[in-house]
Amino acid sequence: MSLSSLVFVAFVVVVYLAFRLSPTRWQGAVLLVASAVFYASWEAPHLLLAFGLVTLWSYGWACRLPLVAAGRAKGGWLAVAIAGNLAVLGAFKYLPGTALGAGSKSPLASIGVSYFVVQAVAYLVDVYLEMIKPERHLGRFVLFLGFFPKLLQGPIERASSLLPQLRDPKPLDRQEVRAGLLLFLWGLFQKLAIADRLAPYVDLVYGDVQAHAGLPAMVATYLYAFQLYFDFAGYTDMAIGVGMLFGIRLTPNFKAPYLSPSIADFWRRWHISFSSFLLDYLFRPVQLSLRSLRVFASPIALFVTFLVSGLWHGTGLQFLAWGALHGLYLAAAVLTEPARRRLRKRLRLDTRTTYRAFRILVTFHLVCLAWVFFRSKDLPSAWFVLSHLGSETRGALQLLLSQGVSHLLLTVIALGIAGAAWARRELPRPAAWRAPGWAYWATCYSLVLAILMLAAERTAAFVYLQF
Amino acid sequence: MTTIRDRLESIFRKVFDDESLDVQPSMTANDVSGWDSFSHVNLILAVESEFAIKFSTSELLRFKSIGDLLTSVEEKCPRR
Repeated sequence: MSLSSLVFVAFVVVVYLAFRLSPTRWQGAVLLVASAVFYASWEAPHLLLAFGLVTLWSYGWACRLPLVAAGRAKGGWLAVAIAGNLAVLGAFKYLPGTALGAGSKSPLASIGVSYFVVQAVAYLVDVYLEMIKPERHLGRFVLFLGFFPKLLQGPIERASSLLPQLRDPKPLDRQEVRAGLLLFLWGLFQKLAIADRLAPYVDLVYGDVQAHAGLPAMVATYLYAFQLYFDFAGYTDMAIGVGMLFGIRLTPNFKAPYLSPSIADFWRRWHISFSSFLLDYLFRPVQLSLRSLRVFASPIALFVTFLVSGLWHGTGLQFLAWGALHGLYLAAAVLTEPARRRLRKRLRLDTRTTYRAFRILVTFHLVCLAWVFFRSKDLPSAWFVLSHLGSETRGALQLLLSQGVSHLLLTVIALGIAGAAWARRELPRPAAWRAPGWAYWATCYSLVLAILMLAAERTAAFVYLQF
Repeated sequence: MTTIRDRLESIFRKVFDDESLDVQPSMTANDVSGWDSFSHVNLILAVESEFAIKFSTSELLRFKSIGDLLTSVEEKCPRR
């Protein structure tokens, strides 16, 4: 059951009604059953097995860890608890074709596993560091890991943010429900009207890079940057919106990432819940344990962190190259920062708008360069794209038009709506859902109409489901 | 007599290049300009060198405020 399907909309309506009609103390149970039904709807019993293993293993170890005296033994038990979760991830995600990997070659065979494993690992570390107390209520813990809107591709929730909301649910607020509905529709618009419209061109070019070298590949890479953003940000808005219908606030994942003036800033604005997980649970421990290397501690830790990030996305060398490239960007930025700071000061660049615009442009292109690896089916394809940027095969415009003039026009209109909404800071912002009733409903109906008119004929699976 | 807190304050002033920095136990990284994950490494190295002590990584990850750092230093060198 994809979040962008009509079945899902019907499912949410049923769950919402059941939630509203249930006494408060049963509402958690309604969400728990709904989450189980949602995950089971993917018709992959091995996924429920993976989820069950991670949940029970993490629940048991989290209850046990506070009973162990601080010291080496406690650290050892934490390592065992984390290793168990990583073993499940390894078996289900990285060993396709094995019994546990469900014998399926589908990239969706391990859907959701990477996300709840990461969340479980963060939870165990928090309990170990005594940042939080372990959750004793098993049902609540299951819901913390498996709340259905964020189960498949995040946001990756911190225990300190989500568990208190599940423990002490607030009465449903009408404004919150209005906001949730609008965010859901906005996410659906981004996915169906923009991401899915950009996908065919990108798929065509990256499906056969040899036939589309040069400008077509360059255009496809820029379009992919936006396809991926609208696909993932769309999903996140839908997930956050559905969460709000049940009074649960999930973590925002994006903050205008392509307007970042540096790669470090990009990672503070792109897939925020995952990059903050990497920062707190991988980068900081590695960096602090390497601190005797002084100026090299941070660059090495950044490089290692982003290699792991690449590996989390997949075992293909192209993902490792993508991670390594971002690691190199960040490591080089840290090492050269003192010299660059002096230069900026001398040339008085920091206050200049043109300099900021230049930095945004450079950052965007560095990100796009890395997307070439991320999108390519393997490393040689990525290398082919990059080494043939100067060659010309079929014209990019001709290729765009081959999708149909009306398709191109509708894509431009959809992008225009998104741009206008973003520039006015309206749609995902409180101004829209706090508007008078008629204005609010007019916005909702307009969005539905826009989705119906602009949605792509063929809808694709969300890109980040495969990770 | 120079207290541990005074010595810690002088390290903070040096690392963050701010002679007017008034260190309070309740302060966190958000309260000190320039205290990010990169300068944090320099701070910890400076503290370890000044007091001739060593923190474990899990100790460092538990610190939430300057007060936590101060308590830990005091525990590691009570008579200095």
